[in-house]
Amino acid sequence: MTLSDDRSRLGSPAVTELPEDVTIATEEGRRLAEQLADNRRHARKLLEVRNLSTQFFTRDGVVHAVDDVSFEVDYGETLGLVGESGCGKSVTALSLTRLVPNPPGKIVSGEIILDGINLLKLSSEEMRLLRGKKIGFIFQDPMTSLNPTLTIGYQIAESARMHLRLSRKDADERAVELLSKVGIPRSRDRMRDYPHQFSGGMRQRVMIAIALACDPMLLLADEPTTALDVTIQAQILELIRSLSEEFGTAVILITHDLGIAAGMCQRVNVMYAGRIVETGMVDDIFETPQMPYAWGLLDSLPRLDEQKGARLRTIEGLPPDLIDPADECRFSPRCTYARDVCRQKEPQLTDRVGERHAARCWGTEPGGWIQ
Amino acid sequence: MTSVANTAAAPARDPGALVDVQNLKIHFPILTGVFQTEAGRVRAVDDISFEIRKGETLGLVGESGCGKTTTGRALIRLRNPTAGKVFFDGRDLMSLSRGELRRMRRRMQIIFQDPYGSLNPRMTVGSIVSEPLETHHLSSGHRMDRVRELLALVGLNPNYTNRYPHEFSGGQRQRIGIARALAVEPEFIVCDEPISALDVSIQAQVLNLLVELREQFGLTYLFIAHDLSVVRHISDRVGVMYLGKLVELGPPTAIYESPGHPYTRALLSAVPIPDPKAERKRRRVILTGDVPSPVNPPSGCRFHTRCWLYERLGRPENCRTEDPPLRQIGDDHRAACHYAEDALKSDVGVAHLEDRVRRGTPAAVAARHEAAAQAAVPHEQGAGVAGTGE
Repeated sequence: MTLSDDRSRLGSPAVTELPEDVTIATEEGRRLAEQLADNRRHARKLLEVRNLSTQFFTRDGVVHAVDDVSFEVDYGETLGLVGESGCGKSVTALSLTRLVPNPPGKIVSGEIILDGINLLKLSSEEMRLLRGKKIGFIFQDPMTSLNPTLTIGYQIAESARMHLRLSRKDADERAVELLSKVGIPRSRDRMRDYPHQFSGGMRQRVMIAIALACDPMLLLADEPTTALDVTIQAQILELIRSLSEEFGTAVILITHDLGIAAGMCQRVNVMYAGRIVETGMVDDIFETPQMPYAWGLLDSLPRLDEQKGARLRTIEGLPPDLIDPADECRFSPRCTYARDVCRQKEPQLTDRVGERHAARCWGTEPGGWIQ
Repeated sequence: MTSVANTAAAPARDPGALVDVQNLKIHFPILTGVFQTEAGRVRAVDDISFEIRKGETLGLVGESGCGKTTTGRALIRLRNPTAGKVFFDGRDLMSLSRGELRRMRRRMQIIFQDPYGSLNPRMTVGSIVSEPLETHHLSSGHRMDRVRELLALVGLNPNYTNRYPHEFSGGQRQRIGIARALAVEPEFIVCDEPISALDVSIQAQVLNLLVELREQFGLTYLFIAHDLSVVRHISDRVGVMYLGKLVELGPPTAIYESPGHPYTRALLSAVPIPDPKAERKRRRVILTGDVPSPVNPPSGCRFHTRCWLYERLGRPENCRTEDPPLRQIGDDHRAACHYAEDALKSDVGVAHLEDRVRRGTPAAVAARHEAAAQAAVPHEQGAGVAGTGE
């Protein structure tokens, strides 16, 4: 919240990236990184992802799971990453934390610049120190992401001990504080409990407490409520929203549920077959989407605020195979508006009406045939 | 409509009812120790009564553990009730002999949630779909023709009879499950979360298929789901369950626009709407805490421990002591709340209907595109949906 004040006070940034020969493992490097971080803040970008490609080398061929994806996240912003399963949204998240299982997966190219640091240039030890401290993450399944043999208190305090170098006692105090912050009653008593003694919603709260233990700048939430019931989902989303406002944490919210994206995000990236196919402010994405895939998704959803409907308009067919995708619009085989040009050359993300609004579609480009 | 007596069981209260559920209870004993003594009971379904009318789709919603799946299974006697009765077309399912039950089962089928677990991976699609035909001695002599016909009916390539389930995507597998259920030409199908395991764009395909089949064969559905938007889309009436109880029952307009149970309102307010402006406008109640355990449900009204109306009304005593009966609160609209009239007056949770075109494809584009499609050859709908086995 105070970032906007900072921004006006800071001078114009000369350099924005850490030189290649400097690492944050040294004192000098850390100081430089701090300074660069300030510069970045001035530029409003917390995270910049440029031309990220992540591939999986399988027996059947190379799967282009994330293909030349670029986007950015502002300080304190909530960005939605929406799409169906297999569109590359989770692999994007894994790439950001460099947790892509290797083999078979590998980040083959691109840059991920978080607060002035190119994550892909860090050693795995440096990355380990940064994970949890600058990026907190919450995964879909709260059952398997907690260690069943350790107490909840230990698991929350662990991160604070390791990254913030707090003493055991201080870390425990912090854990108690975090537990009550995420809405777990009798937090001091429950520190000694094990994950199985918590319900699904409560476990997800614990995950959020762990993710926020070190005041990260970025919270990566990968389908955080998919395994939960709808009333519990509302609780968890409300918690993420209020905490991100309180701490000024930016959030990347990965979801297949367009309703969640509509309610939570300021900006949305729509992904399809490893590509970002549309990006823009949430109102533009939902009101004047510029890509037939986004239209299809919105058309195919029955809505709560709609009377018993007629036939839903659907997207026929299935998403394409991501092994050796052809140079064509990847949605063209399922698109009812596709013309020859769509099958001959893949369109780029080009600007549309609206702030930071862009879409990857020949037909809706200015002068296109879908208007 | 006939008023509801919560206790006395008289068969076929509603002459239009195909399925009549009376005071159904299903409890699961918790057995412990060497002697397997009963330490408690999970009251999965605890005294519920409702009817499903011929040709209607009754949606059943609720959160996990509320008993909706258990109820669905009891309706086709995949589970035996602890107490209470289920009448199918006027006959008590519990009183049937084995042979009678088997013959009755031809009239009732189920579609399962999990398209991966509900198909035997070692059986071909042909044998999966023809198995019910064998069981019921149907179409003997031309069974494979019938299987091909069924596959085409659900939008699969009829030549896929020799393929195995793993060669199909989730949506296609769910179609196989639907073909299997349709094989015996049932009247009643329990659809147990049939689309919740599928991706958004595939969900709509399967949902459309279920609607088409309903119209084509005059099917009666019990549609169990946790997604309230989907249930509104498909249902003629909707029942809401909480912790083993049916708390509200009525037509979608009543349930979604003027719900009479505070739980229904809380549930509705938790459902996200894919429209940022509508989202900003809503008045939400966020329930605190988790659903209590069905082993030891709260006294009185089971929802009172999380109820916002109870708090607002100053915690009235009868909520804690008396279990509210499901009672008539409007035309064909029943709710189990002592203070349903107060709930009706509130605007909590309701998403206001707005007159406008569905978002998504811009109206002008859709209109022009449809006009162009009309001008071209009118293409056949239904058969030949992309059949890509890997």
